[in-house]
Amino acid sequence: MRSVTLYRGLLRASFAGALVYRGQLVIFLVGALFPLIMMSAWLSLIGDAGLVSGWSKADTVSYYIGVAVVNHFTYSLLVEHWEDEVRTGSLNVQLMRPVHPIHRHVAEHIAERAVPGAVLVPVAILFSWLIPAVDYTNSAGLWALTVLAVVLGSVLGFLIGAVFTALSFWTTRVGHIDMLVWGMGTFVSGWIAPIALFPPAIRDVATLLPFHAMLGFPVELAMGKLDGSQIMTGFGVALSWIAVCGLLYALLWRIGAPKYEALGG
Amino acid sequence: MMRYLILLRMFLGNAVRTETEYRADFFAHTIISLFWLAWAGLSIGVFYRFTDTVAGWTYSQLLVVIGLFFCVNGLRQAVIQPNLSEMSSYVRQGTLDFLLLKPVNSQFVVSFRHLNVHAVVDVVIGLAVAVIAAGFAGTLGVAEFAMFLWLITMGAVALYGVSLLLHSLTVWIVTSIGIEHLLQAALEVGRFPSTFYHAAVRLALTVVVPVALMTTIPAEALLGRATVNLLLMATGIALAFTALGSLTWRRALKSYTSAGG
Repeated sequence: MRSVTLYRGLLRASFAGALVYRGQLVIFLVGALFPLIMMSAWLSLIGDAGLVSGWSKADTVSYYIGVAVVNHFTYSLLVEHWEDEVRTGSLNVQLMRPVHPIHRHVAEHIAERAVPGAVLVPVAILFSWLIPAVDYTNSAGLWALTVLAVVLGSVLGFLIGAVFTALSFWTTRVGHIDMLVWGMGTFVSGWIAPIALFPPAIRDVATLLPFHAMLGFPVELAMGKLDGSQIMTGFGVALSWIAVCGLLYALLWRIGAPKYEALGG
Repeated sequence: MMRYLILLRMFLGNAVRTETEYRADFFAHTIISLFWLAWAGLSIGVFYRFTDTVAGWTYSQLLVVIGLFFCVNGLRQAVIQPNLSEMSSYVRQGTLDFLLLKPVNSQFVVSFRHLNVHAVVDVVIGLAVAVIAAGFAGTLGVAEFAMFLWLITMGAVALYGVSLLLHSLTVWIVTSIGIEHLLQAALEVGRFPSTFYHAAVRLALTVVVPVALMTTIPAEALLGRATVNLLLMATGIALAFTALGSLTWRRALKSYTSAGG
């Protein structure tokens, strides 16, 4: 009961914050344009060379509109917020409070995804309706699974960020490390290319890593590109990584928090 | 004129002195720049698994554009970010008043007072990659190089003009959240040649937001495909944007009523 009251308060504050700083909305929506740059490159390539691994121009457009939406929901700003708090010393205040600081970040993550998402999703629907070639599945079941996959991806994105925040008890450079990992992840997540376009060996590795579960997997689900066993594998991978990151975070926090020496003031 | 050169030298000296205090940061930044460069080179490599040319660009030709993208993006981080992007906080906190009181041209002070030295690394690495890749493409000659130098300078001028134009608007709208990101996103489009995009987008990239001027057109020069007409057009557009930016800056100052304290 206490946690319900806690979350109601935290969420109310986070949503109010997300709605007040509407300028930030621009940042989030501009971020959604980046995948479309990759899309343009693939479209000119397919225009010249014809189908690549069976992917047409229409597939590519559908895929990257999906990537723009899914990426917004599964991306997390936790590490950035955390680094700011460590540097300015406001974390010291947070740690004194009777509530673990992660709860406030959970509420912030939800608000930061939901508010711009409420603009992004209708825009994406409008685009898919305006461009007749864009084609997603008609199956309500697959759509339900897609929503579930996006939610799991969002949880996973947040938990990976959380593991990095716990590392900040040992090094203050977690922002850089997080960025490097994310950068390498873009090769296997489906950002640079749908992983179907990679050689089978890379594709197999990619499906087992957390990055694809957070980006390519939900989009491929919505496009109806996956068969039963691939869907099972996708969810299995997402859930396993959620468990691994959750445990790792709890462990690192327990060892690391006592080591923390306040910075700033 | 001489006075401004002396001022520039002082600004530069200050920036280098500040930077030497954060040497670890400088090295971390250099490593990250190299990482993103490798990232860019490998990611376009994925395209060439399927074909030899994308919209008429081979791998090494595309690498020229990527190099110039690094160069221009580095210029943005080195010069625009620490100066013009601070406009909104100048306006909000009222520190713009102090800058206006200084006995030099206010546009000059607001534009060039600071320099992010570590971002200059990106400019150098980017230029090196572009020139080396053009060498591999086998098109580099003295005339090409001269044209390139002129065009990349015009690209930098265009970047400055657009930034001045956008950031002058903050005098009226105060918040600049978004402007810097819009600029960054626009530059990001310049990672690929403008021929990669739809014809309408391509036109916008030349005339509305002159990103093509910053990466694609200088790259054409290094690849020996630039014409005198292109040179004149790029120069015209770049100067037009800077004039428009300067005009907006002056209009903005006239309506500036000071705030904060």
